[in-house]
Amino acid sequence: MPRRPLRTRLNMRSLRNSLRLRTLLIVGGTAVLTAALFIMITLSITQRQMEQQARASLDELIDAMSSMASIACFAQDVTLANETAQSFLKSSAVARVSISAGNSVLALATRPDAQISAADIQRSITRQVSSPFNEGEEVGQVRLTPNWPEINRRIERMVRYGAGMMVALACCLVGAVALSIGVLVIQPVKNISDQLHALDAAEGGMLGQPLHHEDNELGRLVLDINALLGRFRSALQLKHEMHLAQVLHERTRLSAAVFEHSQEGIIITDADNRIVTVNEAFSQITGYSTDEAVGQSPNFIASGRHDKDFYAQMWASILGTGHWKGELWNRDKQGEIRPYWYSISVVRDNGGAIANYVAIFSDITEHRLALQRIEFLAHHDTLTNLPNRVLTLDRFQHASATARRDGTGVALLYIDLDNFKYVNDSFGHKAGDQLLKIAAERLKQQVRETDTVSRQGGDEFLVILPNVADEAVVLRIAAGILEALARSFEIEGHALGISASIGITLFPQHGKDFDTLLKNADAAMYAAKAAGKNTCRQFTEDMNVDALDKLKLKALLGTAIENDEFRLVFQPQINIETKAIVGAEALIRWRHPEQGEISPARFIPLAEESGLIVPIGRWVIEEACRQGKQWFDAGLGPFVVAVNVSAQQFNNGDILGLVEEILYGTGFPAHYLELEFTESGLLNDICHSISTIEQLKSLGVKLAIDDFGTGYSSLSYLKQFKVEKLKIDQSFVRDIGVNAESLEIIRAIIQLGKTLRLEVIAEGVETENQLQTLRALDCNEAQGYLISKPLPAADWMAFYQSWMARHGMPSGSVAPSPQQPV
Amino acid sequence: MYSLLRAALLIALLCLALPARAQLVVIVNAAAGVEQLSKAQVINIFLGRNREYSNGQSAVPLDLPASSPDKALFYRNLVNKDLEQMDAYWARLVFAGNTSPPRLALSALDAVQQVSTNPGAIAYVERKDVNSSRVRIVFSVGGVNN
Repeated sequence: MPRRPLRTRLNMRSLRNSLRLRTLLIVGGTAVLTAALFIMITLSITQRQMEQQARASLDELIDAMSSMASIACFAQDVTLANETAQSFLKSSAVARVSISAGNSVLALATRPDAQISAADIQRSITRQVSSPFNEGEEVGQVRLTPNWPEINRRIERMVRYGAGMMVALACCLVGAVALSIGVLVIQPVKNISDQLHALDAAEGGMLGQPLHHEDNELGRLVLDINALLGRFRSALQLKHEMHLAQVLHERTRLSAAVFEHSQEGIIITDADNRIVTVNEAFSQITGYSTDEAVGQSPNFIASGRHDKDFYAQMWASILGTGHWKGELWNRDKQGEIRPYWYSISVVRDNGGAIANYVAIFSDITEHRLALQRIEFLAHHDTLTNLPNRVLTLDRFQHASATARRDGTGVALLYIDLDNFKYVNDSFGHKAGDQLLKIAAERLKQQVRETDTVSRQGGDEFLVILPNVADEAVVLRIAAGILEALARSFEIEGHALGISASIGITLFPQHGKDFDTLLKNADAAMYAAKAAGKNTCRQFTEDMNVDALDKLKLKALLGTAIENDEFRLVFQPQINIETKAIVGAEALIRWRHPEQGEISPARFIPLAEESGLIVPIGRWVIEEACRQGKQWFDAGLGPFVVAVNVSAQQFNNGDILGLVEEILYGTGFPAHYLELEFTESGLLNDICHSISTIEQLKSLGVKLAIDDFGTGYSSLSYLKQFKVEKLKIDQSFVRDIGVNAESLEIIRAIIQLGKTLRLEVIAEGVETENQLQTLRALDCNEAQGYLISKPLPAADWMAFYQSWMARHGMPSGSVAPSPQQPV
Repeated sequence: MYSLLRAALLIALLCLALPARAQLVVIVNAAAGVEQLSKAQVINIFLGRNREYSNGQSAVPLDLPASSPDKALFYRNLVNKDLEQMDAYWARLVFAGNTSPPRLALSALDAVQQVSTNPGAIAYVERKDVNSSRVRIVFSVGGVNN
């Protein structure tokens, strides 16, 4: 029997219980009530009867004793009377007896254990005694007091016995009734109920005939239920069939509606691929009416764009898998050819034979355009329409695969526009974007059709040159790019001149994968920038080290000041004429306890990027002043202490307040402090620069322009800035004797200095020849390895003293007399 | 007619026979001071209920021997009991009680003799046996004077 839910079983049990319980209650209650009633009636009857019986037996007793009593009374014989009384007491029903004759009591006997109440005496039986010789003559009386407690005890015993019998009878009766109801009614009903629960009428379940009850009411009940189940089942079946018919009808109607109202064209053909019907959408899409289409082969709208192989594959898929999906180009009634997305399926009959083909199609012209657009956007930079990183990577993968196969190479050119930031800041982002667009165009012109030019973001471009057999070709293309980008850009009426730095990596020599090659190309590009910009560099392994761990370095840099990892070295500056040491340029050095000596060329750009240059710059100025003050106090000098100030510090930091505070804090004389700025730093915000310089000058601080000749020198600005000194960039000095052009530049700068009454110092002087040339050009001062490399502060004093002594000069005045600069 | 005659004759014979029966009387000592006794008084004295006269004189009843037909006749006439019943009566009283039956006289003559000499004695005899002036008939058994 299947398990029914708990609730049902509980209900069943309670029902069964209640039925049995109710029967028991009714039968038992009736039995108890009846028994109680009977007992009560019996009790009262029995009591009365017993009482009567007691009286009767007492009467009989008196009768039996009457002759003796009669004689005793007649003879007034006390002894006989007593004897008679004693005889009366032999009956336990008698409690007391008195025999009297006339007024005298002959005998009075009382049962010793009897308890006699006054009421009992009242209820005594009195019998007149007549003479034995004359019935009519009363000679005395016998007065009996019945032993009521004893009589009652007897009655009680009788009643109890009767009641016990009655209760036993009732119990037997109730038990018999309950048992017979349980067996005859409840059990069969429970069986029927259980069967009904387990039965699924819809499945054709029937109740079994209850055993031994086939011919009685239960049997008939089961027959009736089964008949009802049968009727119920047939009704259910009828309803189900009607529902199926309804569903079928509904489905057919729906199918027709879908077919007719579908926005997608539908073609249904027979097994011979003749069109049986088409829907409204078909007519709207192709322009052919249903009548025109029916009976035709669907290829009457074919465009002719697909070849035989295409159709063969299509049919192979339709017949093989039962369906095909794909693009088909159709020609409509107007002759226009457009792409459609087709889904063709085979419809088979019950026997498995092909009955129809169904083709559903929709116009995907818009969809294709959108896809193309998305595809393009996903792979191209929106500003320049150049491929973006994603597509570039794809192109590279392709190129590297080809290269591996052909044994050729691939070149990556990482191009960064020099000073692009300046254009952006000065002329606005719009101008910057325009410049980038033009740059992109120029780049494309410089490469072949098969090459890829992409924008990496910002002002960085990447060129991929596949099929590289000869490095010379790469260098030639790089040179062409440099040349193309060096031409001035006409933007918003301005002619802007920028340049580019290019880093070159080759596959497979400089890396097997794109990321490595790109990283190395980036490093090479930085090397090109470090080499003075507007040039290209091919990657070498040592660049890699520089580029490594940029992020790590940045992190280390953050804690360098507090960990006291910086120190200053000082490079002497001499007066070329007198050979006297006139200044010391403070240069920062960074020794990390684990990384070792880290070049300023590496960390200064990082410091500028992260903004750490401001606190670092402050430390440099403070340390330089502190050191200078210490030397002066020790009796050295006086001489100028020169400090480089970054553009950021000058523009963003409060340089004025900073310098004032440091001078005050260290006690270093202001007019021996020289701040060196680069041209580009000053040119960022000219008005601000001019006012800042004026204020610094008012403190007495000296100012010099560093790397002079490499930037956008503007004579008018130079005049406005009112600096004291120009510093010729070492690249020019290095080229003395090599490049005549450099010599001319140096000469021009020195002339300019003389004209504007500025001192001129040359840095990077390494040979006696260079020094003599500068002297001949009337350059004021010089610094460089020829004189001394930068010296730690501890070594400075010894060098200074020996140098001054060697050139016949005192190593210092006891009290340095400050001299106002010219 | 004979039968009627015969019945009448029988009735006549029976009537003639009655006077032939002996008449019993109760006698007491003449000096006892008792003139007459009622039947109830006679019964009380002879059946032991009250053995004294109304003047306070105690009465001593005398019985005739059982062999005497007068005894049965006396009790029959007095209390309508036969002698066996009388014996049963006395048996009860003698057995359990303290009342005793009348003393037995040897004969009627003895009874008359005892009554005549004992002032308390009382006895029943045939009228024809009353031959002494010292006795007095106080009750006639079967008489109307009771």
